[in-house]
Amino acid sequence: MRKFALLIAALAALCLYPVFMGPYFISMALLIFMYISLAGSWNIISGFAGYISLGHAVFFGFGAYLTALQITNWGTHWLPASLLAGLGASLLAVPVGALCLRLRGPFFAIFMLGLNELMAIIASVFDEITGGAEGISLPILRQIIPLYFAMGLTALSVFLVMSWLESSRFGLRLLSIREDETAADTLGTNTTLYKLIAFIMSAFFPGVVGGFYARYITYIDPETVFNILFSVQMVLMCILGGRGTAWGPVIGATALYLILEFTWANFPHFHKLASGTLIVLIILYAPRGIMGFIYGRGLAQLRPSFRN
Amino acid sequence: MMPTMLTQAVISGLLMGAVYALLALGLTMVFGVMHVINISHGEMLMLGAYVSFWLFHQFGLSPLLAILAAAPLMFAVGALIEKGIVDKIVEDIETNSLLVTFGISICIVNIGIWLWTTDFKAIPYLSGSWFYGSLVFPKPRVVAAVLAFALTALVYFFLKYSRLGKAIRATAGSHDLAATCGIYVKRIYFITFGLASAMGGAAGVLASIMFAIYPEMGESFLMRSFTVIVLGGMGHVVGAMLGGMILGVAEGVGSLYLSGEGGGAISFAILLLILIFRPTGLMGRRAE
Repeated sequence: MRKFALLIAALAALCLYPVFMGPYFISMALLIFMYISLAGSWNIISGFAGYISLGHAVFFGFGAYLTALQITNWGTHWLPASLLAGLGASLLAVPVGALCLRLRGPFFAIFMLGLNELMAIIASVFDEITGGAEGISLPILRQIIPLYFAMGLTALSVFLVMSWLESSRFGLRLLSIREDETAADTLGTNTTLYKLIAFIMSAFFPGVVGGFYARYITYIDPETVFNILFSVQMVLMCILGGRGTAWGPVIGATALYLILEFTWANFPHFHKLASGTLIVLIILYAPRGIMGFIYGRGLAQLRPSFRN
Repeated sequence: MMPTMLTQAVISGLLMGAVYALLALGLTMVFGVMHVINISHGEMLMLGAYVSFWLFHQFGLSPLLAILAAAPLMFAVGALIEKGIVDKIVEDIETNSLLVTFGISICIVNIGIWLWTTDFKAIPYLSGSWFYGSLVFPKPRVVAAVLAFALTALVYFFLKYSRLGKAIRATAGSHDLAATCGIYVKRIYFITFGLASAMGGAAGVLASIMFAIYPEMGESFLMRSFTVIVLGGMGHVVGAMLGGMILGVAEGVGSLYLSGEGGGAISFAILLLILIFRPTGLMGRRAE
């Protein structure tokens, strides 16, 4: 009950936040919400089900493009356009998942890495539709607060989905796939189906926030939205917080964003170098992330360990 | 006219395929022995290419001799990565090794950008072509293909007949049985990873005389070698050689119809087709 009250208080604080804060801090919170949604989505397929997607930015970029195209061609409002883009991203996930998730092993990881590259190429080659390398410009954004709430609600939805996964049968099935797929299969779990559902869920939210992001920065091109940096960030934020937990991506995204914002913001390559190094260090020395330390102190139930 | 163009495309494809095969052989060996897909394998190629570039510009050393420097150097780099990092998580679930090698790959690329900038570099070595009838044989590609083929054959016979090579194959077959027979499995991991990196480095030297050199060049090569090993069957040595040739020819013929960015798309299309129709690869026996 006390936990519930705390949560309500936190939500109320976040609702009042844009009233008292300046545009810089609103933008910052908006981007943190975006990263929470992205890291959380990655967590569904890669943290819970254990299928590593190394090019998850593909759904983000796809959503951004779908939204920008709807806005420029049909004059749609950004909110329905982004939700539709989320559905579009899920639709893209169906054939990809149906193909790659039938198989075990690293096919999926590399396939996603290549798919991101391929979509970036497609976006620059079909320049009559997508504007090619020049990208798409959207009208100037006058009101940032509606976007803040849209991003915030998406982050909240992702968090609720992850909380549900933590305690539901569906989530446990995904965890069992991660820990020992053969055993899960033998016990009658339809592993392919569950992996596919998890993948479609994890594609929807990046599509939606991709749309919001396109509206937020008002200019997109293949280089920005299909940037591998987004994929790297999702991976890093999620494993920093803790894979396969609901709070992990929330903590990881917030912590990492704040650290990066105040340290390496102006050195993009150093930023990537640091991200790569951190991924290696976390997997080697703290494979369960920050949540691992919290669990380790007995505050919550232990989860499977990623180690054989 | 048309048959000549086609023959020409097939020949260029075969020449290129020899280099793909060399690179992919390293990737498939590490997968076969350690069950690790080394996402940073493309970066070994990039580093090899820079070694070659640097030796050429500082000392005017021929890239053919640069292989002798690049291969041992990259063996050392690979062995260090294995000993220091990959060895700690090789027994974990697959998830971890994918993430770790992904992290290593990002690190190496961005160290490269930091040290050498993103400028394209090239080695002005061996220009011109040999001619046979109406067929053209660009000199750099022929030299690269011959060397790649020789190195691939060397590795093949090493694996097939030498004591160490047999130990590597035994470890790929079964870790437990190999350990029971007195093979020190961890040492085999170390050697395999080093050898694979050395092959990546050698392929990088060969790539350096054909293509522009830049820190992010590894990724497209990683994608291609992954296609090659899926094509040949994961962990299958002969399959990797065959797959390299097939991809080379497909790209050569494809380049008649597609231009520019199409190259990367061809390897991706092949990957798709294989995943749909024969996920075990051409030489593979069963899905895992």
